[in-house]
Amino acid sequence: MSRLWKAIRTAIAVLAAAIAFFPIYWMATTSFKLPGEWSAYPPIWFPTTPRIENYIVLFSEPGTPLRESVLQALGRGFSASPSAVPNIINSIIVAVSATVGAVFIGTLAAYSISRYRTGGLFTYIFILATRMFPPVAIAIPLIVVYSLIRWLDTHWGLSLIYMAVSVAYVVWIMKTFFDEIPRDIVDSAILFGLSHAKAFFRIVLPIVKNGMLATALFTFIINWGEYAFALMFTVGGRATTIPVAISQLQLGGGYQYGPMAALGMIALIPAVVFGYIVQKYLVVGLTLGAVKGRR
Amino acid sequence: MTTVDVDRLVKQYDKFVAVNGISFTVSSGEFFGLLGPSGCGKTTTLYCIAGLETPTSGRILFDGKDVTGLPTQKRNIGMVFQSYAIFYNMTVYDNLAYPLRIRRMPASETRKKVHETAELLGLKDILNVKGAKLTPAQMQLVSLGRAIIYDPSILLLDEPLSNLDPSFRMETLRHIKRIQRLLKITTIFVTHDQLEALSACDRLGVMQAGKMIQLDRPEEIYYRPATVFVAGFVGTPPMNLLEGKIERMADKLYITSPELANRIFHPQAQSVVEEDVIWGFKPEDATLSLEHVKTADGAIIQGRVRAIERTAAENIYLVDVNGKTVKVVTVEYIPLDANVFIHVPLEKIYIYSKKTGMLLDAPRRLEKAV
Repeated sequence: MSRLWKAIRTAIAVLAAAIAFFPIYWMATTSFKLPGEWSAYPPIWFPTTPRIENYIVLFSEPGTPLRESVLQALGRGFSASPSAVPNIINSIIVAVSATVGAVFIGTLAAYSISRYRTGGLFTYIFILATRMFPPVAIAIPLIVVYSLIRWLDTHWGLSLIYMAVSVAYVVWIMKTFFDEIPRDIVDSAILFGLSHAKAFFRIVLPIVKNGMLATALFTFIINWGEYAFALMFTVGGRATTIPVAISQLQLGGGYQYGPMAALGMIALIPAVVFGYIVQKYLVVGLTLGAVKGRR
Repeated sequence: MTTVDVDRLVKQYDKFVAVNGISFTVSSGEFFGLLGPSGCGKTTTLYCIAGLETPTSGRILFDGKDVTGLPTQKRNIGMVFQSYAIFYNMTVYDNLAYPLRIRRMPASETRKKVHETAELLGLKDILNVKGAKLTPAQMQLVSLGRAIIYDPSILLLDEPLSNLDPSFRMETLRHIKRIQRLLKITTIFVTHDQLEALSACDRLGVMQAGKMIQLDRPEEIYYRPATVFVAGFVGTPPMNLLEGKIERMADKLYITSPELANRIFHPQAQSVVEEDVIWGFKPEDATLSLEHVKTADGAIIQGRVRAIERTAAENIYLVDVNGKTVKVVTVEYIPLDANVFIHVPLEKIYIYSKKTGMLLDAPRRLEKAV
């Protein structure tokens, strides 16, 4: 009975994993298919000869010898989309700066709220409340203001919005980590002669380091994949990020499933790499209760 | 060699007043206790002295110098926390050396000082053990060592024994006291355990709801509890307290009470002007007998033995009197469920005002005892 049960459980787990991974599998294979195979029926489950033309299209400008060679070999099927390299750079600049800023500000704010009850309950609830209303509610007035100060379609403009949106998230997570730190540990360090600021950097931060890395990862993934603000605030194309660029690949020239999938694969890289680096901290970070003093 | 003055200290959190205008002075080298139930404001007072809490109003003075606005790290205070706050990832050596490293003491001096302190506290054999592997008693000593290693001018102890096994507490307390005497360091000891406070402190303050109720030597607090609250708090078990009335009969004043089998003619009661009183006696001051004692004075209470708590040397009898429980400590053996008479000698009876809870009359045994 228990063996049967175990088999059933394994089967369910495998099925769930297969469902979860199917889109990624489909994206990965599509990124190596040629135009005719993108939406062929019956579907091509695995390209017989993987081709990197999709990636070449992404990384080259129209009219360049590299792009022309692809077009000449394969003819129709590819639209004259511009190179996605600037979009990738935009995404990196915006997401990294917003994450660093949000984690820095949010961590300090969370510690202040947790340890010194700064601003009382109101401030904390107010910060959380910024996550409660939908982004579009503030988008229109922001666009007006941004156009006045000429911040539309700029890196820092979009980065600042991301920072403002995700700082609440950072405060929320980091506060729960700081709440778990026994106050006595910090207090004793201060009694030994450390200032409050030094005690924070030398005692508190090392304890929550793992949690902070995990928070940074989640914040980064949210910022990296954000679409609505990016679409509204990068009209003009100078600061367009990857999610918007993917959607724009289908404009004017039919659905560019191959290059879209290829760009999706590239978008996946930082999350996977970063996630792999911090994975051993993830579980620790999410169960920080372990630092609580033995009584 | 530092005196500590707490001057009209008030600490308020939103609407909750944790400490309500208390003042006291701790003289140089004194072992001073703050005793009270949890939430009475004793720990908050200690944190204000340490500078870890900012007083709402009032002043803290060290050696007559106002330090109320001085940051904690500049007050040169050693403190032992209830949780010990040991760094688990560091060895005992590193834990002890940590405060000295923060103070940038040269390595050779640090080593010397750590070994001295370890010698003093008997930690020499475990210097290389990690903090996480220590027993609570060892953590307690490491915590104490860390608090005294940089020669602070004041030592604060916040419930240092409450995480220890009861059997270790008194021994550890003696150890702490011995070191305190040796270093002659002004010490403030916060505890909710009256036994610890009474046995260790040179003087102590009993706190209740943010106020200082009684500030005295331990024997004064034990033998002359100033209020009903203190009387019900000190002693193991604490004083029996019963309601009574002062009644005039034939030109004399007596204490009467539904629990009493007789009425007490009390010489001191003659000066009591209040009608409603609380009268009490210490469980160890009463005797139990199976027969009615025909004595001239004192209180006689009739009841039934409901339970017996046995301690090593004596028994605590829980006697049911009129639905109330009266405790009597005696070495005698009386069977369970027996009908008994409790006799309290006249000179062992305390009288408190019911209205104010203040002591109206206490046994004059004190002169004899001290």
